[in-house]
Amino acid sequence: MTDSPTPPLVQTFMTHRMSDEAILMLATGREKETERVMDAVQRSLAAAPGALQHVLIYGPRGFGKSFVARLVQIETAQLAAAQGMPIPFVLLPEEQHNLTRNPHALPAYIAHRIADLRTGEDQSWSGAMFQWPDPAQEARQWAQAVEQLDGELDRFLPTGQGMAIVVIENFDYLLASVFKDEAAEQRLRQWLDRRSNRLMLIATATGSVDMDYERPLFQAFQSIRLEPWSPDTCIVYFNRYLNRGRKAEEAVPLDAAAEAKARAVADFIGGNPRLAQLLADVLETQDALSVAGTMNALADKLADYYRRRIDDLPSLAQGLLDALVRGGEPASQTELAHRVNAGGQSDIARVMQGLQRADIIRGLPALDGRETLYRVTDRVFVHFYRLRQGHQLALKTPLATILDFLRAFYSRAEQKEQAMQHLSAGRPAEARIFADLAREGGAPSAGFNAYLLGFGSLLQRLARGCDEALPVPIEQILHDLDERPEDIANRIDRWKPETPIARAAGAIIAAQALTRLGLAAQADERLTQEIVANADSAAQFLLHFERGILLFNVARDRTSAIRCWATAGAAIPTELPESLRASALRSRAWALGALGRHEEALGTAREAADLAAQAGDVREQAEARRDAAFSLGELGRHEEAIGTAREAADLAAQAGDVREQAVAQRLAAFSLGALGRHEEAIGTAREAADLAAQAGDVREQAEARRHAAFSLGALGRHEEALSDALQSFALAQSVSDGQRTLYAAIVAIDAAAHVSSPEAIQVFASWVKRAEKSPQDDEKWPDWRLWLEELFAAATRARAWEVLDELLDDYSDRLPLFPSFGGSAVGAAIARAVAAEGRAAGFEAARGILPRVLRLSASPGADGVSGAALSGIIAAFARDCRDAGLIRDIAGLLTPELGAEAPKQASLLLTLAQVDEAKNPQALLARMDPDIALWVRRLRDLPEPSAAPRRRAERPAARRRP
Amino acid sequence: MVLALHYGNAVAGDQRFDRPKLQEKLLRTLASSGGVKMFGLRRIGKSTLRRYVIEQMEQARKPVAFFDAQGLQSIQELLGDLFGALPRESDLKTRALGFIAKDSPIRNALEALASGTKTGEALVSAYWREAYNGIRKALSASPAPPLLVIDEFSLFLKNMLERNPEGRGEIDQLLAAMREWRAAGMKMLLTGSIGVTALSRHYKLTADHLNDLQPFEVPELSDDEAREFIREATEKPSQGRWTDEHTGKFIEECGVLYPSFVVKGLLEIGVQSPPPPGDFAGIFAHYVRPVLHDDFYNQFNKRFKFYGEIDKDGQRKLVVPVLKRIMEAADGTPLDDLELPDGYSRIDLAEFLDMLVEDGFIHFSEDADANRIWVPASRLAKLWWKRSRLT
Repeated sequence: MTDSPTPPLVQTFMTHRMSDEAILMLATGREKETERVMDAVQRSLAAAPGALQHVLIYGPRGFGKSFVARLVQIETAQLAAAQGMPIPFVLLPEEQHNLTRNPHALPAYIAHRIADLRTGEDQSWSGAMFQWPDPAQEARQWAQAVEQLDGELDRFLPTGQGMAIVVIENFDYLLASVFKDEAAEQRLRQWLDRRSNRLMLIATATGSVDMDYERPLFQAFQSIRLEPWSPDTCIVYFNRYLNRGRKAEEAVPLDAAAEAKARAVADFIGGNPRLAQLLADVLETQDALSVAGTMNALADKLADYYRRRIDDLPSLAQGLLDALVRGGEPASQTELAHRVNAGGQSDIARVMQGLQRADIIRGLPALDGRETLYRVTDRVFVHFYRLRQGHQLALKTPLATILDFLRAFYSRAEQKEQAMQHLSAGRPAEARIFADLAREGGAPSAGFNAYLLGFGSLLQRLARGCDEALPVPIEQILHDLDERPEDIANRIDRWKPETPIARAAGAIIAAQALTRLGLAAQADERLTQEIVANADSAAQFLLHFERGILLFNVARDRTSAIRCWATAGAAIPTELPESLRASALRSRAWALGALGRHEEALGTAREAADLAAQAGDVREQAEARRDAAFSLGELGRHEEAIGTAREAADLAAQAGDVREQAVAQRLAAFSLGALGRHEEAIGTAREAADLAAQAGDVREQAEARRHAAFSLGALGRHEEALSDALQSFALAQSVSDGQRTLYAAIVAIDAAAHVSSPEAIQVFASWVKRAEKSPQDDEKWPDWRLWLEELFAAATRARAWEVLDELLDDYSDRLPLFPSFGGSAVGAAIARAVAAEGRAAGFEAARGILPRVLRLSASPGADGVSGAALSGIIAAFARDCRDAGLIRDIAGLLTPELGAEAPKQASLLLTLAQVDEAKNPQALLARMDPDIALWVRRLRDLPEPSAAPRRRAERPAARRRP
Repeated sequence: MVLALHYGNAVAGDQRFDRPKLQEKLLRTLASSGGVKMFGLRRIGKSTLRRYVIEQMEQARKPVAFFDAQGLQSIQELLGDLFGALPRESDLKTRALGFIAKDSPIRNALEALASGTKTGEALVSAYWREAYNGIRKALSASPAPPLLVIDEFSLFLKNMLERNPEGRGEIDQLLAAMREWRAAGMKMLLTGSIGVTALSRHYKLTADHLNDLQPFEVPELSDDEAREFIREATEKPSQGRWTDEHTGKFIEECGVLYPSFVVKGLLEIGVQSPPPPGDFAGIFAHYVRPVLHDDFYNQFNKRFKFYGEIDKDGQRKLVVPVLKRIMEAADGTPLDDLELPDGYSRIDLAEFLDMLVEDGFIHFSEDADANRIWVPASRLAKLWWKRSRLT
């Protein structure tokens, strides 16, 4: 850092002793302040002798006050040289213990120092020694000392022109100690104010000096506040520091990663320049423990500094600071007031202001922007505070207290790396810290996760098949995996089993522990490594099987999971116990089913079930039967599917596997619905949902509710259908299950064509937005635009236009021709609105939807939609509505602006209304245009005059949804 | 003219903004009376005016004795500084000593004081009367008594009283003596940041002794003055970078137009390369108001609280309604419009009004018939009133 051999930590505190070259080299971020002080120097020079501009440099400790003083000293020397006149510059030492109790000693000391500047001697060393105080003589001694100083100034500046500058650091401390008597401070003020003054004072202070109205020095200075370094300034400094050995032209700027780290350090230190100097070394290290070591060393070295910063604070401020650190940061003022049992936030407001002014704390808006949250600015300070106050966690694990730093300093990937490094080095606590950091802010847990929750039974099976005893009892493994997976990972890593199955078991348990730590990719790597290293076929099977479960449930990589299972199931080693072989067959069956090869899947599942039954593994049997039921359902063999699913449910109940029961019931419900046995389907689906809720499987619950909703809709119980569908949506959304949210949204929007539900429309719209934003995975999800008419119908029924309009706005370019937009659902919805809510509602519905259908028609590429859609809407409406008045009203809406077809449709409606009101409809019809009459007859089911009544046209069957 | 910015002290020369009307008014008031008292809010320019008066006296070769009473804690110290300040040519020292009896116990002490040596206090205090009379007689015999200017005179009184609250007898004697000196021809200009009326009330001094001194208030700069002030301070250094828009925004943000406030604002903003006017709001909010305006608000709060300590009922029944009336009136408030609550006389009202003037809350102007019209002393006081929500 400088050319002195003194260690960097110590150097930072010795600004007065640094050479001019060192000062200039490291000068960063204080240009503005230095300029302002030099402006005051220039003004004072112009006024001297006279009223000189005294300056006060404020700032918390470590902010560079001494540094600025040195910069001013250097620049003043340059100014003096340029102007060819001396400007004696006295930089008093940081502490002035020799002045204790003797205010007059200050001008006397300055006089000595000026004399030394002139003579080159060191008279002030002994000459300014402490003298025993005599308060009665102080006034006289003061006058004498001032005279002595004037004499020295005369000698230095014999022409009477020019001035001297004195820098007094820790001026607030000096005032509070030496000048605390008011008379003494008055004399000081008088001295600073005197006519023909030739001595400019530059004072530095942490606390206030001239803000007390009652004190003589009130507003006696031009004050210059040192602000914290901005992150950019810190980076400039770090750049300089890291390039300290190079010439300017050879300097290498920080790369992006290094700059990110620099910003993390900058944030951590709260812009404190002293800490920036001390922590610059950290940038050159990657190892978190040595960072922690540096923090501890810093906290030790800065103990005095931090103690004084605390002492500088008034007692209430100290108390609040303590509450903030102990109780947790960040905290709002209201919360903090509550924490300390103050009356309210206004009680602590002034003290908080003081803490902010001292830059001990800073406020940032909360994420919702309503409150300001406060935290301690200097994170090293917090670290120090926790250590000193005996915070056990801080003492045990140094990393725990510098979490903020680690959070920002390391990227997520690096945090995961650090976690693995610590695990490998046998430091599970540290590993856990990093693993937790890497997981912060991540996606919420999906609830039931087969990889995690099914591990217990798998472990039992593994243990049975394994020749060597596990290093930890199974119960403890399962318990610790929940609470302290890092400990399990650590212990398993140290286990060196001999046999291949045991080694596979080790890898499997380790992978499970790593997954619990949020290190899924690392878990996969662990399994993959073992797959490569362990050639044993049984081990291979186990590892591929487990890897498939990991990939499917955690990484959500279906394709790779299926590949793993296919590999696992390809050649099932006979030496595996029966229950494991049954698992293998089942995994093969699953893979076949996923590939759509249901006949084969069915056969394999049945085989797996038999094998499991032989092995007495009831759970395995239940799962195999369930897989068979699934394939039967896919094959449309619903009666068999129902029977098999119920069998699977019974077996699952026997095995005490609630989740498995839920799945089996759900499959039964699906097939019941497919057979039109909706009442039974509803009951079964609801039972499945309850079981799934018990098991904590949110996805399964969502699925079951949706089945119930579908059957309810089929039975015309639309209110209930809507309720279940919305519940299904909410559940699916809570675990970010895109597919299930879609299907739930579809069922909901179907129901909403019957029952007014702005919520259903909102739900559908949210699904649309999500689908449009994120790319679809390898699953083929249907295009939401297929349900455009249902969406329109729902909007019509609820008369809720805002969401529909937003979608039309946002995706207008994605709405080309849709021949499926027949319009009948919309028309039926208008009629339902009338039936449920009356004529005005129906009119409103029609008035709202028709222009929007027109807008849809205006979408690029949408020729000819309007005509067909319009007639479809009108026909469906007219069929279901018998209110002649309303029919006429709606005819009035069908103006040419709606399309070429509109007037014709209007005319049809008017005719229909006439017929509805006529005492003798047939007579009217007879006089009408035959095509129109035909239309009316069909709508009103009126027979031809000389022919047998027609059968009403079959309504199209409701579309099935999975 | 270029106005050199300076913050913190009394200023002169190119650091002082000329206020000819105010300056002339002060000189006139001094000339036409026994003296002037300027007790009031700190940092509003009293000392600068005081300095102006001294310069004018010196230029006109009229004798003036000036000293700063900050730091003085005893009558002996005051007399010592007074003697030290007397102009040599006036020979008042010698004459005063001439009127002290040779065998008087204070003779030596006074001689020592006159020569600048400080002696033990106790020795002299019992014999003030003699010292005062000596000075009075010397003044009466002098063809041209000097103008006595004492800065921070009220601070000296406070120092004395805080050291020894029973010492009010001494203070009363001093004040009475000073009145006699004025009668003998020594005009006085006394300034101080502490209101004497409140001090008198608190320590039960006889404030009548200062009644013959004319109160003189230092108002804020007018808008025109402020603009001229800013122009003088910015035109040359900025070389055109400072515009009328800067000035308008500055005045808007500054709010309070005492010269010290204007200088503070200009120093924070920087006159050579000023930032855009849009930045002024932030600069004032962050760097000026918290370190200046707020201190004054706190001071007003303290002084207001102090009235309650003097007279709780008076604070509530008299002070608050008076402040409300004056602060909220669109124009000035005539004295007769100020209501007198039960139990309080016109004299009480006058005393409280004096306190309010001295503490910077209100001031008055007088018409030709000596009718007083009361107005808020400054925008600062008005802003404080608004913030205080006392009613």
